[in-house]
Amino acid sequence: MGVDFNYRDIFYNNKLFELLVNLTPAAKWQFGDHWQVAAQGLIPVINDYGEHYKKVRLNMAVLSKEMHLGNQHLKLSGGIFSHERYGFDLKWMMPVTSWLAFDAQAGFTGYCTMAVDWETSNLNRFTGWLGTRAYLHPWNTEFRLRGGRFLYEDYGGIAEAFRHFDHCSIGIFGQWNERERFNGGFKIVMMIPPYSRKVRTVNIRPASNFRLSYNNNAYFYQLKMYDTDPEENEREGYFDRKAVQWGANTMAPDFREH
Amino acid sequence: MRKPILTLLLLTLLTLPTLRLAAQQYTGLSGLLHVPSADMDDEGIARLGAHALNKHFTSAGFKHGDKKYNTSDYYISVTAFPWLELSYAFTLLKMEERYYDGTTGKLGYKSKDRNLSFKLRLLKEKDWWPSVAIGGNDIHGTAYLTNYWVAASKHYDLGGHLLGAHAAWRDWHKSRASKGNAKWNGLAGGITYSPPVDHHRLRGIVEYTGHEINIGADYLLLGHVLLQATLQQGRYFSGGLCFQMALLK
Repeated sequence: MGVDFNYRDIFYNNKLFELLVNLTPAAKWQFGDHWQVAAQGLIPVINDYGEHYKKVRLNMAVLSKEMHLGNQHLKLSGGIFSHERYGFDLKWMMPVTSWLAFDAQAGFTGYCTMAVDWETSNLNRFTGWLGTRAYLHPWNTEFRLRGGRFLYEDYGGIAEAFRHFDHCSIGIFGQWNERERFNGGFKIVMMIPPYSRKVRTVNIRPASNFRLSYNNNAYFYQLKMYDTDPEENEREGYFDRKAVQWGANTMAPDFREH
Repeated sequence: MRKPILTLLLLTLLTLPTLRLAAQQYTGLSGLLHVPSADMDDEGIARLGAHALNKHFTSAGFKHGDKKYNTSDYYISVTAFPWLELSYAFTLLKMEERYYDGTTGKLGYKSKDRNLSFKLRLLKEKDWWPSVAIGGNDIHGTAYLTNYWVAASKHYDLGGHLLGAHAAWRDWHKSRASKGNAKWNGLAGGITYSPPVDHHRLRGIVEYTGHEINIGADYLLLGHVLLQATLQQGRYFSGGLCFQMALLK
C-alpha cells in the first residue's frame, strides 16, 4: 500500500493549490527466474483535479520478465501500465564501467482508461529513449542524460543530477522538448520504513518508496513516460538491485531482509 | 551606529579560535535571522518548514497597493554536499480574487511567490581562517526577494560556550522594488552564542542587517524540530519551525 500524491499550483483560479491524493494498494507476485506479476489500484482520497480522477480504478496490471546476460540487462513487460497506457515495453541497461552505463527504453502502447468507462484504443504509439548514466562513487552522485520520443509524442531530452543519501535520493533536472521548450525542477525519492523486513510466503508491507517530482512550469504532458512497476523509482532503477550492482545499488540496501 | 558594530564584528571574526554551529533562516538555509552566514549544515540535513514573516522582515516587493503586509512562507531544503545548500520556498502573496469576467472578489492570500536559494561554501573554517560562502535568494523568476551575498563566519569555543561571529555583504539591486530594499545593501553581520547546556541546541543571535538590529534565538527540540523566533528592532516578531532530519547516518 502506498500513496500517490499530486499537487498543482501554477494556474489562476484563486486557489493556493489543488491536490489529488490516491491510495495505491498493490500486489506483486514473483514466481521465480525473474518473472513477476504486479497490479496496482488507485483509490481517490482527495480530488481537486476533476471528474476524470474520481473513480476507484486499476492503474497497473503487468507481467514482466527480467533477463541478465553478462553486463546486458533486459526487462520485458506487457499489460496495463500507468498513465492510462497498455501494451509492451522493453528496458535495457548496460554498465560499461563502475561509473558509466547506457540504458534505453522502447514501448509500443495504446490508450486504456477506466476513469469513466473502460475505454481503449488500438496499439498505435511507439515511444523510446536512449540514455547514459555516470555515477561518482565517492559522493554517491549520479548524472543522467536521455533523449528520445516520449509518451505524448514529444521529442526531447532530460538531464538529471541525483545525490543519493541513506534511504533518500534528491535530484534536480532540466528538460527540453520542441513543444513546451525548457522546464526544470526537482525530484525526491524517499524509501519508506520499516527498513527491516521479515520474508514470508506472503508479505504485507507499505510501498517501498514515496516519489515526488516537482516541475517548475507545471507541464503536465512534457517528456512523460509510463511506469511498468508500482514501485519503480529513480533510486533503484528498473531491475532487481541484486542483479544489477551498479550506481546507487552498490550502496547498502535500504531494506534488510531476514 | 554602523561603523562600531561592523568594527566589532570584524575584530571578533579575526581574533579567536574555532568551532562550528549550524542554524536556520526563513529561506530554509542555515544562517542567522535575516542575514546570511557562511555556516553550513551537516551534509544530508534536510528541512521542511514554515515561517511567519512580519511585514518589516519581508522585502519591499511584498505589498498590496502601497501597503506592506504580514505573510508566511514554507520551504524544503537540503545540504546536498558539505559545501552546497539548496532551498525551495513559497511565500504567500496577498491579492484580490480575480475572475474570468474581469471582476474581483475578496482580498486574501490567493497566490504565492516561489523562490530558489543556494549557498556555496568556498572556504572551510580552519585555524585562523573563517569559512567563506556565497549565495543567493530567489535567484530566478519574479524577484520578490532576490539578493546575492558573500559571507564569512568564525566560531570560538570558550570553555564550552560557543561564540560565532558573522559578516556578510548583500546586494539587493536585482530585487523587485529594489529601492525599498536598498537599506539592506552592503555590510551586515551578527554574533551568535550557544551556552554549554542541552548539547548546544539553543542559540542566541544578535544581528545587524544594515538598517536594523534584530535579536532572536533558535532551538532544536527533540533532535528534529527546529524553532526560531526573531524580534526585529526589538519589536516585530517573525518566527517559525521546521522538521529537520539527517539523510546520512
